[in-house]
Amino acid sequence: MERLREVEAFVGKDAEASERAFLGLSHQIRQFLRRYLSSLAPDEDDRDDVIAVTLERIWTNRSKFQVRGEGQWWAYVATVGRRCAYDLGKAPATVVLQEDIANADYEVISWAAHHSRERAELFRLADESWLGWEAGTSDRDRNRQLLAAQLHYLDARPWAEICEIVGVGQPLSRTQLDQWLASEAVLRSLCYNCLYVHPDELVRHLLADVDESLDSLATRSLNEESPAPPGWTWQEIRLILWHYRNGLRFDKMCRLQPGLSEAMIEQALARVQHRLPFASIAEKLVAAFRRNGVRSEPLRAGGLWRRLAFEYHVSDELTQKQILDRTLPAAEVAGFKLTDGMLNVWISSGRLMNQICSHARRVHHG
Amino acid sequence: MDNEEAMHELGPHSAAIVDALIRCAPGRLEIGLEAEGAIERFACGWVTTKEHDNVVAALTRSQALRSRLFEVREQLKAANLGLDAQAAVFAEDPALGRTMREALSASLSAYADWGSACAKALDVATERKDLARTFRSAIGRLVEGARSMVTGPRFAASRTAAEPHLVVVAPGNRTAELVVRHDSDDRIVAEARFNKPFGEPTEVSLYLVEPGGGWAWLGSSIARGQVWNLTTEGCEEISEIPPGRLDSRWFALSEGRRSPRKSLATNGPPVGHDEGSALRLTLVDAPTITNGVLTLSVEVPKDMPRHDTDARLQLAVDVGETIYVLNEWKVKDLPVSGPVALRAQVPGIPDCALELSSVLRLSIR
Repeated sequence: MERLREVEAFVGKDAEASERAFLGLSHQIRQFLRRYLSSLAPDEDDRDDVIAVTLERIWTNRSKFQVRGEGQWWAYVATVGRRCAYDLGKAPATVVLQEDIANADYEVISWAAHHSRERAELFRLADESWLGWEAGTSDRDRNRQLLAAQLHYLDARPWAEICEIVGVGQPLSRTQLDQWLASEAVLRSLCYNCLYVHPDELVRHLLADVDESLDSLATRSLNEESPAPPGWTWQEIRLILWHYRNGLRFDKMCRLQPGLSEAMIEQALARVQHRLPFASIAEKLVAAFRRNGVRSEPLRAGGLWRRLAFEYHVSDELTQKQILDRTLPAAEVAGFKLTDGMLNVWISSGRLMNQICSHARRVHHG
Repeated sequence: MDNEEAMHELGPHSAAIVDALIRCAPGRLEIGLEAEGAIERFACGWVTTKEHDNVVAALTRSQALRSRLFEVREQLKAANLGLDAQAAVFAEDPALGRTMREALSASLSAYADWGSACAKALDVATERKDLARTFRSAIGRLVEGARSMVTGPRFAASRTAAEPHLVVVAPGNRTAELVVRHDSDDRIVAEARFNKPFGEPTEVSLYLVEPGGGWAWLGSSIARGQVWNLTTEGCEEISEIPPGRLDSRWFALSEGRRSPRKSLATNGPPVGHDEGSALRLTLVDAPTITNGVLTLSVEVPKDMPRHDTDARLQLAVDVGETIYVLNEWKVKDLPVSGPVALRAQVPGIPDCALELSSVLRLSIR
């Protein structure tokens, strides 16, 4: 493993190689600690202080670390980070310094480290694990099957046209198309693809009457030098962007804009809450499946909701509350019981991460 | 399959480490449609395999793109009705018109290149038989070039070479299941099983079907009973087609032995027809493109029906999976007999002889 060799060079006796390796590692350590310490040191300035001290300690004590595996390396970095947070008094007093790691955990940590570098593989594993794709199905084949399902269930195109569009070189056979359309993986992917709404897309939907790029809107909303789009105040635009595009929590928004209260934020966001598309997307899917006589219940598959939670958590780094806001309305329509407690187990207790690592180990490496 | 299989439960500290590591993974790379006209090219079938995959991926993410695709497909159907309809569609949708004109230019240039490479090799091959290999290589280049340029029905890539293809050997009399596959670096092996046995040993020839429908001879051998096979060497270029991409549908069988044609165009099968009747127009010479004008000389048969005064002779060319109408003439205005030069504007195409004439379509509408 390339990173393990870097760690070996870092703890080795060659001072020059050690320094060179540390330059490379420190960037990864910062990235990791920014996320790992987010609950221990929620304030970003505090967290940066903790990271700086952690890096210094890791450098000073480098000769004491024994290289046994990548899992052990990241466990070590995390432990030093936690201790620094306590020593600097940045961690809340209620948090217990729990550092026990079972031997079997190191392998899973090592897998997580590996897949965090292979992002395409990570998301492919997530699709296999929760949407039900067979391992080894290429992106091209997944896309063709998904497009066929969209053309059939959402756009109601005739089967002959679908076969022409998704065929490569020659039209797809009707038999093959029927197999695709009935596949559980395809149906779940269709649901997932509709129900996952990228933050930018969500904001564009909420501000449908505003014809301006989001980046430009964000810049103008900060300096307030020009008039806000008709029908909106700059504060409303700013809050919508912060909350739905950047995933900021209410307390963070209050810190960003002194004088703002959580009640004021709630009031401003209430204006667009009825425009959130999730329930109506689920209604359309339910209707499409009923219209086409789909007997399975892809919208009630737990894997679908895990896949959505994983995407919002990993890609968009949304809080649990925001993930619930973007999944619960659709889950209720679909008849899937989704609760805050379930999300807590999936995300905070590491169930999703553990599942994906186990899946990677089982399917791809026996 | 919700991945609820038994698994090792992580401790709380480990779970937090794993969570942070996985969240370090950068977001998914979004594939956009950077190339202008990609949806239009996709709709008409003039896309490379890579572009095809990109467009499919983009379509899965955008309802608006899918709507645009349906719109373009409808417009292409309308454009196929004739020259005036095509002009009206392109005027209404300038982006589609621009893309189709670019695709026409690219396809004609490509056809011209393949045709001239093939014709040169044919000339050499007829003078010196030991250079027949050169001819075969040219055919191989033609096939490979076509396959890599276009993902169209003619260059289907998904079938394996070992898949049998039903061919008509003698119309109304004999068919065969034909399989063509790579044998070694420079050999292809063709095997056929006929629907009924030959009464006596009979020579049967293997042809490569030119992209537009013309045939090029590859070799012949004797068929006995219901079985025939041929091993032909000197096919390095064909052999370079990746395994699984050689398609039996590129090949055809016919009774008898024929020499390689001197020109695919002049001696090829007549190119015109009127939807199933016996009417055929024969090429007098290879079509040429000079100063942006395509000229096609054809012999008009004396018995060409002229009672239907509205009938039009239409000249079109295949662009991907779509037909691009180049020009039309009223049948009643054509000379009663003898050769006639049909011309169409194809601006921007370098001067050339379009040896691979079977990409052109002549039809009475």
